Amino acid sequence: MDLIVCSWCQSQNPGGTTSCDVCGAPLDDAVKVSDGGWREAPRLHDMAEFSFGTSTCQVEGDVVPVAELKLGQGDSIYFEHHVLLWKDEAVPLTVMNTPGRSLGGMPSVVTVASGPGRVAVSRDAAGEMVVLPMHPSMEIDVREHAFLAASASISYSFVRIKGLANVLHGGNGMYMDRFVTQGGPGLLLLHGNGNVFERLLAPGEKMLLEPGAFLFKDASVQMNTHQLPVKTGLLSRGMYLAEMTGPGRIGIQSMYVHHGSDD
Amino acid sequence: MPGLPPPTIPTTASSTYLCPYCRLQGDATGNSCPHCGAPVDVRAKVSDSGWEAQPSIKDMARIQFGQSSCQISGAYVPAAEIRLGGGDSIYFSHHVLLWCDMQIQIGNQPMQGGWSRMMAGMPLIMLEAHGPGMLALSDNHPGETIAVPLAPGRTIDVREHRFVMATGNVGYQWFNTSVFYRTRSGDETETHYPAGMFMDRFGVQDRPGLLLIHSPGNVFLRDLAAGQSTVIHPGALVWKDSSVQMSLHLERPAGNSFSRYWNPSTPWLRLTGPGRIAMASVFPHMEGTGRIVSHSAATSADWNQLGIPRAQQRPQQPSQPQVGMQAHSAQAPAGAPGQTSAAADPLVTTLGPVLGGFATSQGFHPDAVAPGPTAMFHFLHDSGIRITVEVAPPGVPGLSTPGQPVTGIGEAAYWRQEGSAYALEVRQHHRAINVHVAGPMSPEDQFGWARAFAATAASCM
Repeated sequence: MDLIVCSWCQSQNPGGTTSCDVCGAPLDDAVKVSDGGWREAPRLHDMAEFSFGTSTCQVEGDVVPVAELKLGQGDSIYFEHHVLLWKDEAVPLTVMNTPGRSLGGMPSVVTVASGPGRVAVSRDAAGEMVVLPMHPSMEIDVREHAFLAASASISYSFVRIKGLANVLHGGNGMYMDRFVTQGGPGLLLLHGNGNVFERLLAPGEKMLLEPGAFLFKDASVQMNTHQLPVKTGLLSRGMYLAEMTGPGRIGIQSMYVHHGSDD
Repeated sequence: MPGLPPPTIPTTASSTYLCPYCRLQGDATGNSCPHCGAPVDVRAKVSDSGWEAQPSIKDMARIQFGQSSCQISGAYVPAAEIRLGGGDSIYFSHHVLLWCDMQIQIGNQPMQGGWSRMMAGMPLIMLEAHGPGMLALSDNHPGETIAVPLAPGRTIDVREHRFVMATGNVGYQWFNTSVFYRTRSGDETETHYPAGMFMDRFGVQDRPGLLLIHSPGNVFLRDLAAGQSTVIHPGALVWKDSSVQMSLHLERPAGNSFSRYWNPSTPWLRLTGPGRIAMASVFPHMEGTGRIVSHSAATSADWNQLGIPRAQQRPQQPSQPQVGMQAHSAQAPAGAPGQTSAAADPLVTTLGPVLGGFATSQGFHPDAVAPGPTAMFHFLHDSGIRITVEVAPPGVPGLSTPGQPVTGIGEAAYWRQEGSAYALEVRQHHRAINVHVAGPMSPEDQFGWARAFAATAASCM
């Protein structure tokens, strides 16, 4: 039987399937890459379904997508408590111990839902759901407040953005969420505001981003602050952009909050 | 009456394409207009009242300008990725920069009137980028990015905060809208600018230019004839031709004696042609107006004084279109204005109210003529423009010899001259209609009117 390789997560799917069983990406849509090398994140079909562990995830809606997860026995996911849309009454919730999150201005409560049962999560902004299946030994950094849910096999921490200039002018806050897999795979769901684009940077290759547009990156990608020598206000100079240096993937969102300067 | 702004008449065969949105000719072999990115393979969607939906630029569509190109990607919040050739430049407000490569040269564009702009809440900083290199721009609101190619001599006015970028040869000014009203609460008087205190004005002199605008929600276009006016929500205006005049219109709904005293006027924006206007389906809410103590020059309607006809005070059952009647004049039944002869044809039944509504919105009246062998709808404007929409009977694929092909309307459309008049024939779903236009105006305007009526009719076929 012919196998179809998903262009987003590289998983193999049996012939005849229309969406990837691992990430839900449509298998019958052409990959859209702009002249600048940015690839659109796959736009998941309404009701696309994919699986992880003994659980499944179904994505509903297309303007503000909802992830509806059917958790199998023994499986669990975690998420920021305010993204929970609904749940089966029988699904137990616990709180993950994440000391220090509130100090960084991040939600202090990360909630864990355990199967069996159903839960649904969504963020309240128009945008796209980004499904990132993580292979063993991967590290992904995510902009704060962009994380929607992750399977329990992914360990969660948050890292402080290095450099005072990065913190003060980077527009990405003080912390980034870091998701790491050890021996097994996992599933990470993000919400990008607007449309989401991804690009692979070669070793040493650099790219300047509006800091508010940064969504995720491989941990191997270095993020620094780059100052453009332009006037940005009546009395201020310097517009700060995020300088990303490869190797690795970077993801951006097209709707963002501009942090650069006063108008 | 000069009619609609002059479109270009197609002069060659099917290899060229007349874009109905930017009215420039391009290669018909592509999927989108090379000048504005509008898709070429979609039907015109015109509402009964004459608003035409601006189709979204397709994902990854390219727009060519100078030695450079612009590619639109994304659907909810589109990003415009621009590859600048050497010697080309663009300018943009600094907060729309999404990313750029390390080669592109970015600097400040000199701006004047900074104090006024700051007081008006408009962007103070304009950046310019010089090629070669790549950069991407995006607004941060769900909506549509629309491209407006500017032909030499054309100027358009854009609502503040809608501008994304312009090519370096596009001139940029801003002007005070002078559309305002003042309210008073206690000792405090507040001035409101419902259409913004300033508008941006863009124009080119000798070479074509390109303007990108981001509009929240969806965009709808309308062409206003000279002297024709329409009233819209002030916050919905996206852009207009500079020839379109703008003023305040105040409406005061009818009410009982208590509400008559307290009921404030509702401010609207009156737009008067000639020219094209574009409005958005997402717009800011207006605050409660309170009692207006003064305002800029305005028209007004007080429904307490005008009175509401008794028949309109409560909902009525809509009257059925009376197809097949020998209607001859302004006494034609509602739903079949100007119709002189019709069989029991579902298309004719549908066309009657749709064309009637559209014609009325454009200032036309049903015209009295003698009955004919085919179903016809006749409309006459005070200026002398006469438009006849002829419907071929079922089974008759066409009404006359095809002329020059026109794309963008129906499955096939042909444009030809008939003496001093012009006709546009549209064929779709094995039916055909013919729009005849005659009157004191240029061929370009005749084509514009024919296209508008044909597109309206095609939406029913």
